[in-house]
Amino acid sequence: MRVGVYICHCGFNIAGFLDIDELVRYAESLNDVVIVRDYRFMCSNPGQELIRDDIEKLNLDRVVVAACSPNLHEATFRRVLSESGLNPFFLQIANIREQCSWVHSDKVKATEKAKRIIRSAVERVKHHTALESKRVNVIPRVLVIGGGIAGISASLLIAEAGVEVYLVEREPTIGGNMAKFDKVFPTLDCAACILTPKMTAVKENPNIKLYTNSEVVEVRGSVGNFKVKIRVKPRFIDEDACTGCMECVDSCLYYPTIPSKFDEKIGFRKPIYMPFPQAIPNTPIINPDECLYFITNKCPMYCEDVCEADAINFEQEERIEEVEVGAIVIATGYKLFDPSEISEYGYGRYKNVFTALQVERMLNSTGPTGGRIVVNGREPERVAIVHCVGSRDERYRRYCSRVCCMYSLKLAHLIKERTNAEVYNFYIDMRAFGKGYEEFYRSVLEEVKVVRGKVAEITDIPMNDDERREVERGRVIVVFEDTLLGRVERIPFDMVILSPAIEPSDGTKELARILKVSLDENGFFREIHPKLAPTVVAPGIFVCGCAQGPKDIQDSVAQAESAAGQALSMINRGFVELEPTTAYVDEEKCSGCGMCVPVCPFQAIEVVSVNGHVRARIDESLCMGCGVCAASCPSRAIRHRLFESETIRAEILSLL
Amino acid sequence: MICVIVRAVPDLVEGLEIEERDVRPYRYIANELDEYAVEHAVSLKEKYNERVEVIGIASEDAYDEIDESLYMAIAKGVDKAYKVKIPKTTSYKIADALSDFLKKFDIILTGTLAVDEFYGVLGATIADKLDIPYVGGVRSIEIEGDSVIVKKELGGGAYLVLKVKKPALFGILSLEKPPRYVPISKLRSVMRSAEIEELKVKVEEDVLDVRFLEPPKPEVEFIDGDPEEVAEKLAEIIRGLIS
Amino acid sequence: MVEVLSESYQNKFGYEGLTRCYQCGNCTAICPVSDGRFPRRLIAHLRWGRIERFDEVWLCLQCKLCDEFCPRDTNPSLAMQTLKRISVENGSVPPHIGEFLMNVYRRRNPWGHSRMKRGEWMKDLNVPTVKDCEFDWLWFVGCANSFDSRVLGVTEKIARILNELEISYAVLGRDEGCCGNDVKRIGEDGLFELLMEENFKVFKRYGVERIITHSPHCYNTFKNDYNIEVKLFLELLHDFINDGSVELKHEFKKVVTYHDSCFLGRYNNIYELPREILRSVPGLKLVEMRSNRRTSICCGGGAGNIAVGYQGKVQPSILRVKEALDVNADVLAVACPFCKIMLEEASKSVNCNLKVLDVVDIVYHSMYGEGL
Ligand SMILES: Cc1cc2nc3c(=O)[nH]c(=O)nc-3n(C[C@H](O)[C@H](O)[C@H](O)COP(=O)(O)OP(=O)(O)OC[C@H]3O[C@@H](n4cnc5c(N)ncnc54)[C@H](O)[C@@H]3O)c2cc1C
Ligand code: SF4
Ligand code: SF4
Repeated sequence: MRVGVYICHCGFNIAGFLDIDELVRYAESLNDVVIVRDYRFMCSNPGQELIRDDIEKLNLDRVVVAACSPNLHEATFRRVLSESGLNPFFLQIANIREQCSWVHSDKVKATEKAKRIIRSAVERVKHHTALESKRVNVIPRVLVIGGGIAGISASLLIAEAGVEVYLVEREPTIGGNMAKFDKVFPTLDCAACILTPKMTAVKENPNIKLYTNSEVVEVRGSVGNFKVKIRVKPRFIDEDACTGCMECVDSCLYYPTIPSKFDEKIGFRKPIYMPFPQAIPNTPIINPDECLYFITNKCPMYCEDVCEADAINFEQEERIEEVEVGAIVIATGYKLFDPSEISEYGYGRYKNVFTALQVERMLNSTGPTGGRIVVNGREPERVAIVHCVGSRDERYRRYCSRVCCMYSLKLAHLIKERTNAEVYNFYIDMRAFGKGYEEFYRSVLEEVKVVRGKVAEITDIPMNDDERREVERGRVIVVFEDTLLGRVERIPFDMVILSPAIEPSDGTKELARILKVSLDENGFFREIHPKLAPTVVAPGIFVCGCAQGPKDIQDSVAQAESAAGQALSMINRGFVELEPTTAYVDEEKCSGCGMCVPVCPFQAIEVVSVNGHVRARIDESLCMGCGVCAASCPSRAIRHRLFESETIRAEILSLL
Repeated sequence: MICVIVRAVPDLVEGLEIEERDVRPYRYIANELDEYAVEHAVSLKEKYNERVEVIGIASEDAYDEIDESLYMAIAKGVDKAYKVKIPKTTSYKIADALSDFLKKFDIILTGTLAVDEFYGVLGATIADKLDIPYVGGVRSIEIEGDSVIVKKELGGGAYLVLKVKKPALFGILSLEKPPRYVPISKLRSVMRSAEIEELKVKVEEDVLDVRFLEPPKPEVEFIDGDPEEVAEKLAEIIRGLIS
Repeated sequence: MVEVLSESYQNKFGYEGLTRCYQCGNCTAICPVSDGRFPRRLIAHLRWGRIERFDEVWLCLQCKLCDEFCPRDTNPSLAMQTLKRISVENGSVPPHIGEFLMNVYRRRNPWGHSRMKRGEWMKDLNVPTVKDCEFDWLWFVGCANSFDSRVLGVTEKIARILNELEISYAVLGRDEGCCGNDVKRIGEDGLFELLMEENFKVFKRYGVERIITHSPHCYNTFKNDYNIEVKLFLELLHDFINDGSVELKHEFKKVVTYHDSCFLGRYNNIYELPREILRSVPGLKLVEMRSNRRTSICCGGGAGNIAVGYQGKVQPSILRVKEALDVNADVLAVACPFCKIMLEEASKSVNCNLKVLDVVDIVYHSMYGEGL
């Protein structure tokens, strides 16, 4: 066997720490190694050329590249091999950067370790066998989960390209959080004016099949070939028949006393309701847990009487729809961190303390107050807006929620516009990084008082008589240090608005489990590379909007269109190449016990009858090559093509 | 060169055991005013870069216990420490014994008085023996050429400023700022590394008669009643005392 | 004068979390005794290694209230402790703290009382000492409970309860030292080590394996710095009340509010135990003050201030008494001798009828119908 070893300097990343000459000398001494070369950047064109040349001239049949993590350049070097006529799987990457030079402090010992890593790669690669990639056709349909601005934008772009989209939204309407706003920063566009046309477009596009009040409950298969089950919950009103006249809602005898989720619980609705007037589908919904008919079976059912379209149907039942798609776009967005966890802010305890989304609803002309800012029945005279509530906080959410600074400024501006109140913004660092954002910040500075300091406490317990009078007037006292003046102050406010952290939507964990993808440390969907593949979560699964991490509308839309592009590119190509690095069953050894079936996270294994014997069978188009089955098989009947026992043995022995 | 004399005295906080003529302290510590003298000496060192040495005087049973105060002095900045064993004797004999050693210093500091020697004569006696000037009750010292300017406490906030030619001996009475704090880690490392040189001197016995005079027990009377009654009776008694 | 510390100095005094501070000022705003300059601004100095004069750091009580509020887990109180440690190393310690430290060094108690008299309180009581019996538990009495007339009553009551419950215990008497908790909190590590070595020696000499103590200060340092098995007297009492060995027969018809000691609460997360004990006293009505549990303010006796009294302009003890009066309490219950001393003084100085009682006082009364 003729093995070539290529050691990359990676600039100073490797060569600055490991003794390259020593590694070269060592690699040369290994059995079957015929050539060792080192180079500044193996992944560069000249670097690749070195390998190509050697394969040709020296007749190499195995290649080891000692460089960075295989995650980064394994594909690159495999391509080099196949271009030179060698099977691409005759390659092994020895990771001497992430697993060696970057993580150690003792250069001498690290060089010793790098030698072992290279030796084990050489020993292992000799056991590699030739593997061939397989192609699978891509089903030309896309599933989009979540109908906020991100999901809407992705769906429209895909549908406009002539590809069918299933858009699944959990709520009775699409629109997501953006539908709650009155205006959006930094341009102060009317949110409804830019969002509702898009929502209507979704409804009207024949390529989009919209499922609202629905959830994805099961996903099987893999890239190009997903089988999806959608649970469609009954709305009890026929969407196609309904004209959206709202007579039914008006006629319902129930008083509007149920806190509305869409109105962030500051507005009230009936058991039959439309979240907001421009909802899509423009059809009310009946909540069976609240409706008198369902609870007591004793309701005059005026709604049914008044509906001229005969759209009300109390018999509707939940159904499961199955669809098959080639790609999936996740756009499940965010929810707000619950500030009542921070007990010193008194959210839930004081009537003066609101979340930002509640205030967005107040400001909205179709919201519960018709666009007026009211606290305890009065217009506030002094308003505090507290940034970073739960964000950048080791006790709650450690990350920056990115949009709070800007929407806090937006709220400040809108409150100034609508009321005569004095507005204070309490910030720690002001993050106004986007296009036009700094300009917006500057203009808001002219109208509000901006205080650098975190609010320590919001209290209704006075310290002196002045404060007592203020508290009796219904105000709360905000305690903070103005850190620029170095002064601790206690100021009474009529209204305090908290800007809570943005966190993953409810059910994100469950969805990740269904999709078999991973979440990052903060619970958002983890992209495979933050810079180079920011919308790719797994082969055929893409993410956009706040489901990937906090961001504003602008970025959500950009990302949504990127995810849509990814999906379209796949569909346009028509096929995907499947890695041949899968597991397979040695039918001789298999006893058919079926232990492997439940452990496979991709449901790729079935127990079937082969010539009258029960045997496990792996669907290699579903297999992702994780190897769990091989580890679980008591008869050692399952093997992995790139991780045969002998290969692993050779690898381990040479490490020791 | 400056020398400070530090004497071991009974630790009155811990109390004494008294039997006839035998007064046995539970423990000895450095005389507080002597420690003040160390403070002044260290300040002079900082200000004028003078070399400061300290000599500890202790009787047989306090000979080990004085070490800690000497180490503390070193930790504060004193350059060298000596100690000398001197049995219970009079100031005259101490002065006799030390005069040779003390000759080489041009400023000598010690406490004006000590808890076991209220008449405050040790400093004066040594000065007399060395034939140099003595000022007691000193609260501040500054050096000006070959003279020393001291402030001597007169009581009631008044003080006297004196200019004294070196060499001279001063009895310290108070501090201008609170004593410096020596971190214990520093003290302990000094204890490990520094050395105290033992001086051998000949001390003559002297007659020293220590007696314990039990003060007469005062007559105590408790006055009961409400405040007015008590005040009435008290006034009566005070009137009786005055007239 | 600005002194820039060398990097090695910074490494020596830096600690994990220090660099996380984003200067939000939460700590300063919540600190009851801050003059506005600490902790936040001093943390900025410490991070830069730029130490100007920072005498105000000695106002810090090491009560840890700020740590609870810090969004970055910076532990501002640790930064304050670090600055104090730098001061101590430089020998620049304010007189009242210097006095405290010298007293502890010379006499092993904050007030400079005679070491010989440490066991005096038990003269007329029947208290076993380590020298004359076998024992399971060492009762570490603590400085305040050994010397201070304001809490000696509590000590005597504990002795009587221990005797009556037939606990196998003994005390060290004259051989007891200072636990060093507050010495450690103000950064005098050298003295703390000295005390710890000495205490360990004594424990070894008498075969001490387990300690019982009433003082949260002793409890904290034994548990977290000495890592020796230690139990609070109140824990014991709680167990015995629960299993019926201690019967609370006599009513205590008072409105009581409980003041959390920093060293029980924030340092060791013991918030409910004393409250549960109080709730089991018949007739007693427990109310909560404005700041309670993790947001409770300090009595002002921590970090060496017990010796001479808190020197700051704001007296936290007085704030605390006012809080108790605000909720119309008759009794301010404490579970720490330092708290009792500080709050009793404060209650006298604002001239009110608020009585400051140890939880032990109340339990004792309920057990025996006497002692108040
Ligand atoms: C108070 C506030 C004010 C803001 N103001 C502005 C502004 O002025 N300008 C700006 O640019 N940005 C603003 N933002 C940010 C903006 O809201 C987001 O960038 C944007 O809404 C993200 O869109 P999205 O589609 O990713 O998520 P979302 O709007 O949250 O939409 C997600 C959708 O997915 C659905 N969903 C969730 N889970 C599931 C599931 N498992 N199955 C099916 N459906 C699911 C949800 O019901 C929802 O409809 C603001 C944010 C806040 C909190
Ligand atoms: S220590 Fe914590 S609370 Fe204080 S300023 Fe820094 S981050 Fe804020
Ligand atoms: S520990 Fe207590 S006293 Fe010290 S800074 Fe923090 S809150 Fe203030």
